[in-house]
Amino acid sequence: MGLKKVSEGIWEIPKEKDMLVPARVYGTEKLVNAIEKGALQQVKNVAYLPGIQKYSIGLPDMHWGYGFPIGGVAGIDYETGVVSPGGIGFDINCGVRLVKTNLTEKDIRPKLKELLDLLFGAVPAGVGGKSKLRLSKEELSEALETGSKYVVEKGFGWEKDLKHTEENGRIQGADSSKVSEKAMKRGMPQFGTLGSGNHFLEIQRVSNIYDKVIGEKFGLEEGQITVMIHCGSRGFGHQVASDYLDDMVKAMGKYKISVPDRQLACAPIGSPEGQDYLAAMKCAANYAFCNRQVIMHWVRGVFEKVLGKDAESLGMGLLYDICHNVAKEEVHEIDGKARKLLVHRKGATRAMPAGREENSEDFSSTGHPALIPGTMGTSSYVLIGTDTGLRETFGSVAHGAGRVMSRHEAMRRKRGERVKKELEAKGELIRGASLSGLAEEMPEAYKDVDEVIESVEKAGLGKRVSKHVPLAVMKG
Amino acid sequence: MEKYRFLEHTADAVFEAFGESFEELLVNSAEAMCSVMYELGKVEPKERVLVKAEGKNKEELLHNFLGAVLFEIQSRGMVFRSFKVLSLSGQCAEIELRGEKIDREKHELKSDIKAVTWHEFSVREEGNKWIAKVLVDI
Repeated sequence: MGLKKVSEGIWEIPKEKDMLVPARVYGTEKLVNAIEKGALQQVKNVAYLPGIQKYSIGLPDMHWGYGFPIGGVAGIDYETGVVSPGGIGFDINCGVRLVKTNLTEKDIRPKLKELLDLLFGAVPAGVGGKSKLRLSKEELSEALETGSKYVVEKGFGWEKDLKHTEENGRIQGADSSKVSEKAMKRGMPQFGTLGSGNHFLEIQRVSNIYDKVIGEKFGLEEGQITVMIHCGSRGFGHQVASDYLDDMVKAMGKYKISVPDRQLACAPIGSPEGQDYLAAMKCAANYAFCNRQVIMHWVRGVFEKVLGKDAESLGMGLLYDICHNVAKEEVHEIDGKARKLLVHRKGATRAMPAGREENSEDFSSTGHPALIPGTMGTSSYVLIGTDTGLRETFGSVAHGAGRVMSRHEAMRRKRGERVKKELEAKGELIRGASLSGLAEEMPEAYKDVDEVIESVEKAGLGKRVSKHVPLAVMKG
Repeated sequence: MEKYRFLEHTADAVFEAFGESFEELLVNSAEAMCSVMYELGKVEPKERVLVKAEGKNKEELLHNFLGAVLFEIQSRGMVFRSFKVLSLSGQCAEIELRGEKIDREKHELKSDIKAVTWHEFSVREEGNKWIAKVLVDI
């Protein structure tokens, strides 16, 4: 597919046909050789989007998706470019949150099974997992526009959680009148649910601290127990994306835009279709912030119950909450000039270095934590952004390991029970909403997350702060 | 005739569905999509839900129909086993779904589907056989 090495860990696909910019792929030779042809075609297709700047970007965990590759980034000029819902994905603001504790493995090992069982009872998951909350349409509308603040005011969590959430848990400009009735109906019963697929809730131990100074500032140390929550905007966001994708398919003719894949359908950012989608996308992003905030509150409740202390005494502060499927209005330097872009990140994590205005007060001197979830059985990481990453990838790093094996292939290889037993033999407890789901998500179905993170660091896009290994996993 | 078969895809589920008529294609595509989410054989056809779908062409009609089934599953918390095309005129179809409320003990639930994508979506007629290709996001 014509990949040319630019420097260590950086590859380029030169412009061809109507590509507006070249494509750049980041990763070690081993990772890049393993990328499917379909994914490379997709990273090229993204280069056709009007207004795209610098490169169409594929991160080290890049794999074959639909429209955009997963692990793809596109910085698109806000004045002249387009917004493409396929560049954000159906699960708008799928993301990760990491909760700290002051516990060690010794404190919780005897209680791990009880913790996992109670978490499974407290957090609805899987197909048809219904929320314990019953929001009216009016209440949901308010949550969509106000974000995490809405649920915190209702008693789900602490005021200080907001400062440790990307955008303070509320993307400005959300307008619930731009959301369809269908999305509201799908969203209401799922507010406060984990979902299925690769979503999970995990009790982890910090196995390594790579940067002691930053680790200390983040309140992370070796041996410490943390909890990671990975989920998104559920059926609400999926419906918003579906609705607007259909609108954009129709609008393409009107704006005389042509793209190589219908899943890349887009409209000018300033057009009514573009602005309406963005107002609805922000609602879905706020829904997801609320979702993770509510789930975290239930997690704190389970720890309080099992350990007999309140969450404050257990040190259960939120380290950070971050999106990996979203479009953000950001200012970046293009040809020496500051320009407003709409940065599409699909399966990519923002990692803004120190000095950027996106960092809240607590992270102004370090840059915010970029959270990279592993898969069950493999590690997760906390990184920070770099100036190189800001220049190369608009301040973006990978979002996880990235699949290498289809779900069917995974199920052919092993039954869910065997996956569970193998992980338990390693000392990792597992509970899944479905056994087939466990098989589909087996560790071997993913790229080696350690190598993905090493690639990110080698290319200078981000720096490792800590590594977290799973002790107990609840799979959706 | 084979109703549907799954093709390899790394992250999501791709299937081809077949039918001797377009009506049969609609039904078999819905069965294929639902088989990603649960075991159809475990569902009893107790309740009846009607869905209407339309489109400018056969592709849009199938796409919208699958989206409508997904919406009924998620908004009602139901699973469906049988699909019957009551009427099909032009690019407008009325379809009856039969199923029941989700029972997590009884139904073998698998993975949720987020959406029916447009990626490489196609409907074609070859001889007397209708073929659809669909990628759903998991």
